[in-house]
This record gives sequence, structure tokens and C-alpha cells, in this order.
Amino acid sequence: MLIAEGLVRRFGPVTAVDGVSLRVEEGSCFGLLGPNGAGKTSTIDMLVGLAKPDAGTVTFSGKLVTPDDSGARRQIGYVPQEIALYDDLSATANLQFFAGLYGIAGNERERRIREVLEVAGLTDRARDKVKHYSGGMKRRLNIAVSLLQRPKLLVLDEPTVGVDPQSRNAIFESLKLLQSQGLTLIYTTHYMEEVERLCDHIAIMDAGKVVAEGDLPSLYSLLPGQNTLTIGAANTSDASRILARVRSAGFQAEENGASVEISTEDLSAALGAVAEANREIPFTSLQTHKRTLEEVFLNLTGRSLRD
Amino acid sequence: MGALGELVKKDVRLFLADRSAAIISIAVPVGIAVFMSMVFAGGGSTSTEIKPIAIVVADDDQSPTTNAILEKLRAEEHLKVRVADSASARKMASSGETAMAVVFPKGFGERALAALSGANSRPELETLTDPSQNTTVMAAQGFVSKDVVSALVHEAYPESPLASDGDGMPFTTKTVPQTGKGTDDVTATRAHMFAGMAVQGVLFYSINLAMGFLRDRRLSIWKRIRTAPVPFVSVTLAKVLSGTIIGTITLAAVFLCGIGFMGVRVTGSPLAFVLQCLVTALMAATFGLLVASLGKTEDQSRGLSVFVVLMLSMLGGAWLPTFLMPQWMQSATLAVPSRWAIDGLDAALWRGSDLVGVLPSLAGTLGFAVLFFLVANARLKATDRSA
Repeated sequence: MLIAEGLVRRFGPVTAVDGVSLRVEEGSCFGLLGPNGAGKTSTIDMLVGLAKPDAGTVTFSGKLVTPDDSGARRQIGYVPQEIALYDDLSATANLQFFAGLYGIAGNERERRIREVLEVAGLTDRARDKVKHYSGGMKRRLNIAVSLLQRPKLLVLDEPTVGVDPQSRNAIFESLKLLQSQGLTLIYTTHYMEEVERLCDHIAIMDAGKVVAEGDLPSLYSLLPGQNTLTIGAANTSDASRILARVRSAGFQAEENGASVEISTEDLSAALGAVAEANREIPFTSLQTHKRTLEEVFLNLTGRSLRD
Repeated sequence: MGALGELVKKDVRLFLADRSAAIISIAVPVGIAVFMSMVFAGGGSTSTEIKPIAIVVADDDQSPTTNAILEKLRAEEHLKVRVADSASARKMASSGETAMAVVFPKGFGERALAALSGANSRPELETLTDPSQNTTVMAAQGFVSKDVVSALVHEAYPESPLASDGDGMPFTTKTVPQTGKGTDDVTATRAHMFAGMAVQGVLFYSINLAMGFLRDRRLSIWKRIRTAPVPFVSVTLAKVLSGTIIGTITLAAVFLCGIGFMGVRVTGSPLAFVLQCLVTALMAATFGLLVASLGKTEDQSRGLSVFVVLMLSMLGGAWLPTFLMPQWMQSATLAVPSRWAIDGLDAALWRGSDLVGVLPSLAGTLGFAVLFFLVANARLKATDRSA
């Protein structure tokens, strides 16, 4: 288990990370979501022992994680945001080099290289120079490198930037497989759909602070309703009548010109009430929408994740 | 093989992976050294023939003494004398057409002979010079002075054996070049050019080392290496070791070309030469690390470091030997690491020095290497902590 308590990181007058505390359970996938500049990478740097916090501590499996002590760091795999590979070397040569840094040698090294190439789906291209790889292949190799030391925790800093949908899927499948094998993941991104798909626990960061934390349902519960129904009416008079009917059925709704927006946890019950109203008042349109983390973030900070 | 070995092996592998860049890093210093050798020491021949210096002589005196001087000057193998009137001579010197014009004023012969006999008043020999050709002027003045004195002695003491024998001087000279066995001025010049360009070549390679380091940081390879259980000093030390290996390969290739094709020889201690090559490569590698520690981005550092390397090469004597520089500059260049490296290589190559003779240069070059490493390591560590 990784525990971060009261992490602070300052760069001159700027406080990039301001009192962040996290608890990452063994075998879980922990998502760190936030816009660019929220302090995710600075937090990650402290979690993996690259940077010393100005205040606070990080422990992994009970051991303190610091830049000066490599004990805990041996168990942590780190996938940087950029593709941290040597373009002029082959995948095998890159893997041999990074394995060597962890003291993995001989037959064991060759075994592990085969293993991670398999996970990345790059066995057939292992002898090719990395510069001849596609962006997606480089991303997969970038992750594979961090698996060489068989870490217990894998920290991924925006690992899918610039990746095509097919490669992204391949990466997600690999990560899910690794998690199912007991690997703990910390995944940072500003793509909320990635977090929704992969993570079971999420912390939302903004301006160096964690503004919300929990599993997906608990984060959605921060919004008035998990789903919205938008009903289009012929005119504002019809919209007002629809609003009255829906509210009388016990649903939270707002009128917006010639449309009505209903927020609800129970989509099927709301649809029932709406169908009832439709018998008397004709609708011009009806749309349902599931709330997203983007809206949670917007609701919490008043800004978009991609700002 | 430990992490240090892996880091070194990786850098050497990267150097060899880009074969064209590796060949260029060797071919460029060889090419420039050959070109500079051609310019300063001629092409294929190793002849030491010196081209005569053209001077202009104006004889306003027209006395038997000045006629004798003129004959002596005409007979001088190192001078090519042209006679003109004093106005034309002045004009040719001021336009740069000649490096030096000599004007014998009226009464020069008579007064000069009188001065030899003890008279107080000595005549003035006017030399008009082109300031842009100072080195040539100095040489020409030497030859003129010698011939004038010789002719005057002959005129003043016609019975003296000095007047009929030799150059008329009351002493003889013996020139003994203090170089290694079999070295003449042409081979010495070539050896110096190869030493200078080899040092310039490894300094230029050190820029690549610095750029590679900064690229690693930009691409987060640095972060990935730093998350591995590798001590910080191993990472910086590995850069220095790999840079030293690659620098030594470069130096070896350049000098092998010099030995194979341009007649360069190690006339001094071979051990001293090898050691000087090693510490030169070490100094260049630590210089690269220093550049990396001072720069923030590749673009920012590249231009500045090229300028610095050119300055180091120039001040270190790679283009022009330091002994041809003004005295104050010769003293100032002791603070330039390339000066120590080139002096050491010169000593081992063509000065014929033994290990003891090369030791000061070895120590100087090594001192700079240690200084650069300590500063770079401290700066990189500080940057790493604040990043």
C-alpha cells in the first residue's frame, strides 16, 4: 500500500503541490485526474522518489520513498509522460540497458525482456530500432521498460498522450491484465474517459490540491443527479407545463427556454414520469445523458478539465 | 557488469549506432588538420626551404660603403632586394607592397665608419615597415642588421680575417632545433596541427555529449534513470567515462591518420603520449558534462558551446601555436585547458619530451578535468533536487 501524507512541493514562489494526501490500496487502480498544471506530475515525482517533498512523506509497503534511498524505489515502476527511450537503439537494446540499471543480468534478463515484449505485443519487432516504431508501439515499449524489474506498483504519468485509439485499447488491455495479476496502478491523465474506464478510485486535482476523491459513484454523487434527461417542447408554455408535471412526480428539473432538464439517479423512474407527461404534452425531442467526471470537475472548480 | 558499466556501454553503443556521425567526428578533425598542414607546412615535401623576404632599399648616400652594403644585401639568400628612390620606397611600405623598406641617408657610410672608430655621432638607418607584417619585418631586420654590420666591418678593417672569411661577424652560429629525433620544422608543424585539431575535435564531440545529456532530460530518460537504484554520481561518472572512451577513439583515429598519411611521429615518450591522449579525452568529456550542467535546453546551449569550443581551440593554440601569441596572451592561456592538452601532445609528438617533460601538461589537463567534473556534478545534483 502507498500512503502519501501532506505532500508539499514548491518551485520558488509557486506551490505546485499543496498538502496532497493519498492512500493507494494494494491491487487497485488509482486515478489522478486533473487539468494541465494541476500538480499531477509534481505529485508523481514525489510518489516515485524522484523529488523530495518540501513537506510530507510517502511510504510504500511501510518503507519511506525518497530520492536518497533506493530500497522502496526498486518496487516502483515509473512510466514518464514523454517517450523515454533511445531512438537509435533497438527495443531489445533499450530493454537490456534499463534491465542492467536494476542489476538484472544474464538469462534472467533475457527471460524478463521476452516477458515484457510479450505484454507490449512487440516480440516480432524486438530487433528493430525504436525510431522505426509507430507512436503507439513506442508508448507500449515505454510501459514495457517499467515492468522489467517486476514492480509491485506501476506509476503511469499520462501514458496515452498522442496515441491512436487502437493502441490506446491495447495499452488498456495490458494494464487491466497486469492489474488482474495483482499489480497496483497509479494512473494520471486529463482524459476523464480513461479514468472512468480503468480506475476504481480517483483523486481529482486542481491548483496543487485534491479537490475530490473517491470511487466513481461517490464522485458522481457530488452532482445533483448521475443522469440527465433533456426534453424539447414546442414552445415555452409547453415547457413550463412539462416542468410542473415532472416536479410533481418528485424529480429535480430546470426549465431552459423551450426545454426542460431533469437530473436523476434513477433513470428508469424518470423515463416513466416523462412518458406519462408525454401523453398530454407533445415533445419535440428527448435525450438522455450520463454524467461524466468532466462535469464533476466543472461543478467543483468552475473550469473545464481541458482548460 | 554494474549499473555504471551499463550506462557506459549504452553511450558507446549510441555513438556507434549513428555510424555517419561517428565517421564525421573523426573525419572532420583529420580533414582540417591535413588542410592546415598544407597551408602552414606545404604539401608532400618535407623540405625546409624558406622563401626570401622581399625588401626595398633606397640609397640616398651613394657612397662606396653603402654600395658595399647593397652588394651584401643582394647576396643575402634570405632577402630579395629591390632598389628604389626613397620616395618610392616609402610609398611601397605604406601601401603594403613590401614588408620593409630601408633608407640609407646621405652621409650614412662615412658616419657609420667613423662610429666604428669611436666617433660619438652615429648615423640613423631608417626602416619603413608595414605593421600588418610584423613577423616578416622582424626577420628582415635581423638579416639587414647582420649584413650592414658585416659590410661595415669589411670596409673599416679590410685587413682583418673577418673581412675575408665568412659573413664578417666576430662569431659563428650553430642552429640546433630542440625537437625530437628526425623532426624538422615541416613535420613539427604537421604534428602541431594534428594535435590542435584532434583536441578541437574531441572538444566538439563533448558538445554532442552535452546535447545528449540535455536530450535525455527533455525526454524524461533522465527521470527513468534516476528512478532506478543507481547512485547519482554513477550517472555523471558514466557520462565522463563513456565520453573519455569515445574521445580516446577519436584521438586515436586522428593521430593514426596523421602517422599513416602525413608523416606525424611520436618522437617523445609513447607512454606520455598515450597518457596525454587519455587525460585530454577525459578533460573534453568533463567539459561536456559542465556544458550540460550549465545549459537548460539543447538550443540554448548548442550555439554558446560551439563559440566556447572555438575560443578554447584558438586560445589553446590549436590554430596558431601559443608561442606566436603576444606574451600577455601566452600567460593568459595558461587558464585555458586546451592549452595544456595541446602543449602536452606537442611535447610528446615533436618536441621529443620524455614522461617527466610532459608531466606538467598532464597535470594541468587533469586538473581542469577534475575541476570541471566537480563543478558539473554539484550543479547537476542541485538542479536534480530542484527540478
